[in-house]
Amino acid sequence: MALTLDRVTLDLRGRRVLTDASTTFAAGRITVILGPNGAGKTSLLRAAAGLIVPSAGKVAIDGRAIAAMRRDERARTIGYLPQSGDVAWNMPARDVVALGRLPHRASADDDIAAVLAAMAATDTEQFAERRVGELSGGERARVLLARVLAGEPQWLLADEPLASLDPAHQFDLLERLRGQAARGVGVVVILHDLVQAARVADEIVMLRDGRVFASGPPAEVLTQQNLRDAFGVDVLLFPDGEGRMLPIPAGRAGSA
Amino acid sequence: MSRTLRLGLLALLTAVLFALSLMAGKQWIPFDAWFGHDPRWAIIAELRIPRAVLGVLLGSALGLSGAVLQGYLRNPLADPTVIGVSSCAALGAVASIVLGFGAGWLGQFGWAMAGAGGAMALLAMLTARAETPVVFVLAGTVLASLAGALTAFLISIAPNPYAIAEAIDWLMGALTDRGPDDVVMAAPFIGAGVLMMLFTGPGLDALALGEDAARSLGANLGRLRWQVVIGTGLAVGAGVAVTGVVGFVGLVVPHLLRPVFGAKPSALLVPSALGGAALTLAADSLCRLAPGAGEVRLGVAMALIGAPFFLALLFREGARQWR
Amino acid sequence: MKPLIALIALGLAGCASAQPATTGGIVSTNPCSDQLLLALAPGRVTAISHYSQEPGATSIPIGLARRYRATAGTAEEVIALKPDLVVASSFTSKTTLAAYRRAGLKVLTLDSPTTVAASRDQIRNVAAAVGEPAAGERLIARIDRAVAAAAPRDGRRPATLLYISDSFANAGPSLLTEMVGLAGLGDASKDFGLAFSGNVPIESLVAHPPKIVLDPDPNGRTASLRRRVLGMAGYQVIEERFPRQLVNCGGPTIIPALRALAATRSRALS
Repeated sequence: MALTLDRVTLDLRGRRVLTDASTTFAAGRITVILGPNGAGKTSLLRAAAGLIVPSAGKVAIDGRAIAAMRRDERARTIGYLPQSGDVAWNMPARDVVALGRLPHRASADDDIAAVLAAMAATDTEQFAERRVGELSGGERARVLLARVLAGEPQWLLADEPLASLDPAHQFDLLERLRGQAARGVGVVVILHDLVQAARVADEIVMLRDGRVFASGPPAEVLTQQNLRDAFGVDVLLFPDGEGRMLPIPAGRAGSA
Repeated sequence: MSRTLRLGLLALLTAVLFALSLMAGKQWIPFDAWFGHDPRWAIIAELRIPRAVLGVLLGSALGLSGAVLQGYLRNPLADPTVIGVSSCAALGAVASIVLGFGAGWLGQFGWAMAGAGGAMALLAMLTARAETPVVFVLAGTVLASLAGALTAFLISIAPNPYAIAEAIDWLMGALTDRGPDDVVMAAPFIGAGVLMMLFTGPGLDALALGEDAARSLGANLGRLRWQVVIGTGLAVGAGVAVTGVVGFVGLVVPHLLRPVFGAKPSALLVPSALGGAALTLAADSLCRLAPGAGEVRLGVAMALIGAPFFLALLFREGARQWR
Repeated sequence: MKPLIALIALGLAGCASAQPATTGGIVSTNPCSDQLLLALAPGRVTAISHYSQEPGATSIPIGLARRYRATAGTAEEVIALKPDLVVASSFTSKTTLAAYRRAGLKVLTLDSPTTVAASRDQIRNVAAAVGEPAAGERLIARIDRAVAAAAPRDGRRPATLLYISDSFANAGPSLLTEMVGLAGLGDASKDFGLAFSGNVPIESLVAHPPKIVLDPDPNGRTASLRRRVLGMAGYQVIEERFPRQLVNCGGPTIIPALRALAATRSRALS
């Protein structure tokens, strides 16, 4: 199964944020979208989720345009985890997770089962009755991930899910995403942290100035040259002992 | 205590207040006056029953609109006046009083509904491409200011002092001397508005996660905005058209019920309608019981009850209550 | 759109009746003094209040009112007319009165008389001020004749509630209250504890219904409901129309007002 963006161009408020972007996300794998600020990462992810309509190009799942899908079918298929972790109302965690069931017309029992499974997968059962406002940042991030998982989507699109999490919780969340990919879900994540990206990605899509600058396996994309060109930083590559090269940012690129 | 039980108790409270409002007044009319040829039956049939029904309609319209708007704008400070519909409906009614258009009650009601309709259309236009609730609130505030200024202007050019007195009296909001005709006129609009608003539950819940997340859950935000604007516009507009401006209910009732029924927007809809009805019935009974020749104006009574109560709540709970 | 057109029409109504500029004479700036002056010295009135040209507020026949120039009562308009005398009311704003004084105009301020005796005194004062004492005495004589004609022949005093708008009933010390008494009617407003004109909820009416209800528009919202409820309760209440024009002023209005009240009483008691 594949989620493809085919020559997608996006204009937002009169500004072109994405030009002719083409890429394919595979099910069962983790694709990481990287790029400097303003490169168009969030826009690309939102287009993939069907939240914005491209000015040109097509977004499709296995050849079927997502724009042609009905709202609730698309909602069941694609789960979107936005960057902002705010929940407007101080509801119990259980109710927040249950929101993920909105697009489903399932029985109450199926809903409850899905919510429980999602909370088990994110290790959040113990605060089912506690209100979101009282949870710590890491706990709330897991609850919000559980919300997406409760929808049992085939695609999980997450926008900077590690922002404002400490390193332990970052590893924790990435592990759960890996678990989802292992179960066949197509995971697409926007990350800022180059090291975490190198560790978790099966595929990398690097954006610069609204275009796909490079894409492919991390070993091919995360080269010193690419990172210098895309981010304007020099990196040192360290092996992590598991066959991957981790790019550690060392400083701003010298005079070009 | 389960939700059903709590809802049942709230409904029971409303029913008790309904019965009480049929009895209470400067004339206490016990139930045995209902049967037999007691002339006070006329009071019950033509005045108290329509008035209590209107109290339920108005109260549920205001309470429910408050809950819907707070959910939609993701702000516990929102209430029906924030979208400007009640001010525009009041403008329409005052225009008919001062300029003498529309003799009798149908004209005044029609003008007030026209005002409400105008506000809804303007709101829809102004927020067509709004990405945040801020535009919505700004548009409503502008409408309310404009309507308020025009209302004051109309009062200032009133052709005779009686028109001024009538306009000012009407603006204070009252259920006094509202009869079956008022119920017949207002009920369809309020009913339609309330029904439309009851469908907004799932959309409001989804919005709690933000607009992108809501859309990703399949919420149709465009249709939700229509339901909110038209639902609150019809219900609040018709309410104001019949009774004048009654504030506080939409703000206070959802707030009071949140600790009891939970903060999830959809869970507050029916309770807020019932709570609004109960509060309005209680306040209206107090209006009738107030000493003096006339009755206290409902809008005034609501503010006098609501404001100190709310202040007390704020002092006690502090900022913790907001979220 | 309709209200806007009405506003424009209202604004133009003032201009339409403008006559070639005449100066001097008497300028009156409220409907009650308009009426009094037109009764005492019609030829010397240069301008009247614009309210007198509006059917809802006037106390003089519209046709007559339209023949005169009208002002909105602003100091500018009045000063520009260079009148010999300005007749204002106790409702005229202090700033406007001060402006007249600064312009050196002679100003006569009238209040609203609350008794027939006070109205007589006012007529005498105004007549003297405009130099028509004889006309004043003639008017007072007509008023006295009207009072005599309205006086009841027997001791019956049917309780009467007089509405001055759809829901406000007249009460308290006022000219209307005195006239109701002079015409041989009882003042029902006392039964409801009203100290001043105000609202009587229909519920209270049903508990203690008056014999007669007078209102300016029997088809008004509250009037219709009132009639219905009283009927349902089985009370026979006589309802008659009492035009709003008879409610506003003293002076010449006393005559038709007393006549109407007396006629109502004789119809009610027959």
